[in-house]
Parts: sequence; C-alpha cells; structure tokens
Amino acid sequence: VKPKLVPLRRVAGDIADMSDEAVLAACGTGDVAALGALFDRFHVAVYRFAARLPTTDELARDDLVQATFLEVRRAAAKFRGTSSVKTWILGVAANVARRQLRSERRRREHQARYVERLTAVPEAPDAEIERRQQLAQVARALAALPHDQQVAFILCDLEQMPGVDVARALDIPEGTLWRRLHVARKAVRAAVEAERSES
Amino acid sequence: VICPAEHELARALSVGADDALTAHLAECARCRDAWDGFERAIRLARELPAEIPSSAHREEARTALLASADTGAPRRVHRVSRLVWVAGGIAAAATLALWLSRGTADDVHSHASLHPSTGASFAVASGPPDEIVRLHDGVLALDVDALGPDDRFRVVVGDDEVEVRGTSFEVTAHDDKLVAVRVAHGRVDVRPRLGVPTSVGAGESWHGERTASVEPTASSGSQTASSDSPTASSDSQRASSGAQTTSSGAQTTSRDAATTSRDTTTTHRVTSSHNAGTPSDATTSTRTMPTGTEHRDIAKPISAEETAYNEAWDALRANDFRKAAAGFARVVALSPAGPLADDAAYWRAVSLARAARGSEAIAAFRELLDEYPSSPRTGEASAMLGWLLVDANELGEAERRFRAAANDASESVRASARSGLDALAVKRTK
Repeated sequence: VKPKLVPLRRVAGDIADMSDEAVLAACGTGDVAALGALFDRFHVAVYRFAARLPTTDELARDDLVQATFLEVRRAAAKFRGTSSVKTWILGVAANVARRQLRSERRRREHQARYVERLTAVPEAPDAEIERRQQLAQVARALAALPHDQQVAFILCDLEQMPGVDVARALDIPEGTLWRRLHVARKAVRAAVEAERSES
Repeated sequence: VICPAEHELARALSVGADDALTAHLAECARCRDAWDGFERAIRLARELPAEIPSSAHREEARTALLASADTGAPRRVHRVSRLVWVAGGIAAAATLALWLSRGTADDVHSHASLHPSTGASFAVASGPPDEIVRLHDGVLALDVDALGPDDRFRVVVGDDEVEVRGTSFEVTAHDDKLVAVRVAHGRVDVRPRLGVPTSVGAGESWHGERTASVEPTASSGSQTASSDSPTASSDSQRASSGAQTTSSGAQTTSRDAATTSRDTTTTHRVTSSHNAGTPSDATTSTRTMPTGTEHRDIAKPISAEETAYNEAWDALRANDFRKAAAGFARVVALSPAGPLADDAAYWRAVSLARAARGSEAIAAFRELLDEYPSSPRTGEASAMLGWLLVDANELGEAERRFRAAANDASESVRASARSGLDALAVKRTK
C-alpha cells in the first residue's frame, strides 16, 4: 500500500466527485478523508504561497502547510462561500504565517536567507546576472514589507487571485486590500527601478 | 487633470482599467509611467522562485498531516538531508552497491498489503521505513513482506501496539482498544500499554482482556493459557520485564512475573505485572491456541531460540552485524526445524552481507535456499545472492539466481532481479 489515507468516516458519495465546498464541509465534520482530499487539491497552492513568503524557509514551510490544513479543518465551519475555497485556504495560510512569524528576530533571519538563496549563483552570463540582481532587489523589497502587504502582493499579483476574493478571505475591506497592494507595488517598483538605474 | 487615487489605480491594475482610466492614462504621462512601472515590477516579481517540494516530500507531509489530524498533535515531517542521501549512495556503491541501493529505493513502498473487513476504520499514519497503521475499530488483516533491518511495521490501537517482522496476521480492535491478534505466518510482538508484551507466533493468537466482547475459551477445543514472559524487541521493554535467560539458553525464568501453574487442560489467566511492584489488576492478557490445535503449553517462558532471535535482531538493528549473524546462527542451531529457523537463516545471511563478509554471506544464502526451499524468503534471498555473486564475479550462478527471483510475488524482488539481469548483461559486454 502507498502511505495514503484510508477514510475513517466516509462522506456520502465519491470524494473525487465532490465540489471543493462539499469537501470542506465534510472536513469540518472531522472527516479525515475529506482533509486528505483538501490537501490533495490545494497543497501545491499552499506550498507555493509559503515558498513566496520571504519569511518562511524550507523548515518552516512544512510546518506552515501542516498548520494551515489543521486550521482549515478546525475553521471549516466558518467558511461562508464568499470566496473560492482555494482563496479562503490561502487566507488561512496567511493568518497562520503571521502567527508563526511573530518573532522579529526570526523573521529577519528568514529574510536574510531568502535573499541569499536568490543571489547564490556566481557563474552566469551577464544578462542572467543582471536579472538575478533585479530579482534579488525585488526579493529584498518584498521581504522588507509588513506581512499584510506581502500577503496582498503575493495573492493578488503573484498568484493572480481576484482582489475581492482575497479581501473576503483575509476578512478586510476591499479598499484596505487595494491600499496595501498599492504600497507593496510601489516598494517593489522602486526596487526594480533603482536596480535599473544603477546598472 | 485629476489623477486616480492610489487604491483606484491598484484596483484597476488587478481588474483592468475602465474607459475613463484608459483615457486618463493616454493623457497623463505620470500615471502612464506609474502604470508601466507597476506592470514591469509585477512581471519581474512573478519570476521569483517558488519551489514546490518533491512529490515524495509532499506525500510525507500529507501523511504527517493526517496522522496529526488523527491524534490531534502536530507532527514533524521526516526530513532527510541531501547530504545523507549522497553519503548513502557513495557507501552503497562502495560495498554491496546494487543490493543496498535497491533496498533504499524500496523504502518508498509500503511493505504491507491491508485487507480490512467491512466497517473497519483505520488510517495509515506513516510510511516506510517506520510504517504505522492506526486501527480504530474492526478487523484488519495484513500481509507484511520481509522487512529490512532498519524497517519497522506496527499496528497501533489506542495505546497498544503490534510490531511485525514480516508475516501475515490479523488485528481486531473495538473502540480504539486492542481486542485480538491472530498470526497466520511469521511472528509479531504484541505490546499492550497496560499488559505484558508478548511474542505471538504462527498459528497462535492473542486476546486482550479489557474488552468484554472477547472471550478466551477452552470449550471449543482451544486452550487458553497464560503468558507471563514478554518478548518485546525494545531494550526498555525487555529490561522492565525482568526476564532472564540461563546460560544454556534452554530455560528462562522470570523474576517479576507471577508464577503460573501449568494446567494445560483448563483455562486460567495469570495476572502479571510489567514492573516489579506495579499493581497488576489491569495487565491480564491471554493467548489462545486456535481451534483444532493440539495440546501445547504456550504459557511457558519464551524459548531459547526466541530469546536468541530477539537478541540477534537487536544486534542487527544496532548495526552489530557480526553479533547478529552469530545470534541468528544460534537460532538455527537450537531449532533447525523450528518456526523461526528459515527466518533466522535469512537474517544471518543478510547480517553477513552487511558485515561485508561476502563469501560467508553467499554460503549462508545458498544454505538457506537449499535447506528451506519453501521459505517465503526464497525470492528475496535469491535476488540478494545474485547480487553478491555478481560482486564475486560468479556470473553464471548469479544469472540463475536472478532468474529464480524474477517471478517472485513481490514487485520489489522482481525489480531487483530484472536490474540484476541488466547488470549482468552490461558486465558481460565489458
């Protein structure tokens, strides 16, 4: 057997045929099989979101993903269907990440490692080096942002999720989201332009 | 000209500019410049790496998550550093390269096939090398392939656990309580949290006392006898049991366990404490012989070969291969026709191979295959022997051994045999 979930309590019907909302609802009843199905459907998105967060390193990422899905299971009953399940789960991930990264010192260490990873390719063609330097600048700018602005930028601009959905998932007014997004974009743009003017 | 507010521009960048904003951007160089700058920055930011872990790692994360969900406690995803993998690869190449690396590759596959009864509820809590199946309710039959020296396979019911060493057996649980274990082939260790750890062999069964629905009976032709001698594999359990083996290995005494009368015709239970001085009212367990089995007193302390077998296993797990080989040899010598003999012969050969005593390992595998041709381990032994013979440049016999393993029931054995035949072909062309 593969290390695969065998349902402890079967939901009605085949999970593969169920909508995301139905699986989430089943998960909220404590159905472990439904939790496994949710993981199967959305874990790549959560991992990608975690990987984009400058404040999570490889070790913290697994913890974040696991904590996110456990929180999803706990809070599934609160899902009101005002955003897609995926956006809602990423909103949960953002909140979990905020809690996990309260320590400012830890946050700064993660940021330093994140930028290091991007610049750690010494032998590359000039154009590639320039691109990497620009990316490193973007990464630094992103890392320097407050968590809420990072989340807004990642979900809206990198994951390209609808802002209305994101605002609902984060439980903030839409205008707040747009303002956070604008500030984040300005910082990233400034970093890119500073790098261009230097080179 | 009135420029849009920041949040309006941000929104438009996400949802698209309406006609008014499009017209404004055409006229306002400052806003146009900002707009283009934002789009450039966003495009570049999308190139930031967002690495997704390997599928194997994600599967581990999934298993850890579900195990956490099952128990309520977060679990760490097992991580193996790349350095360890590289070092392992080099070591494997330097010694029993192909065989050992085959073993590594097998680690991603479970050693068991599960056959749940209708209504059984269980979850696979972790994969190899330390496989755990958590059974909550119902009956679960399992066929477990031969385990490697670093592999474990356990069935956990509540706080009780059953550890396997390559066997076919059946576990019954009720409401998160271990009810019974029945062994068809091989041997398992039953470790109830409150009871006495017990080793259960082929044809035997173990019944817990804490569930009213289970009745150890003497009326249906079966005998129930007490078990007061733990044979758990872990040191701590063995230490706490107080079991001692005499120098001859033929007799075993128990310091702490209550002495039992050996009435083999009537059912009796023995209350035995796991630790000296421990209240013993909750530790009762019985083992029941299957219906139709001839009289056999299984209440006696564990046999000398069982003791030797467990000691050899402990040595193997501790990577003391020479001691393990000697221990398994002793098991075979004590009881060449006993239920543990072929298993011990197999592990003796493996231990010798792991000790880099190639010629002795080859001889041991040949002996196993000659002496125990019906052992369930013949396929795996043939494949391993084949690889050892490749190293020894005895290519003719190696080919015969690989071909003998090529139709084994286990996919991993068949794959090893195929790899061996491929390796032989390459070697012959050089």
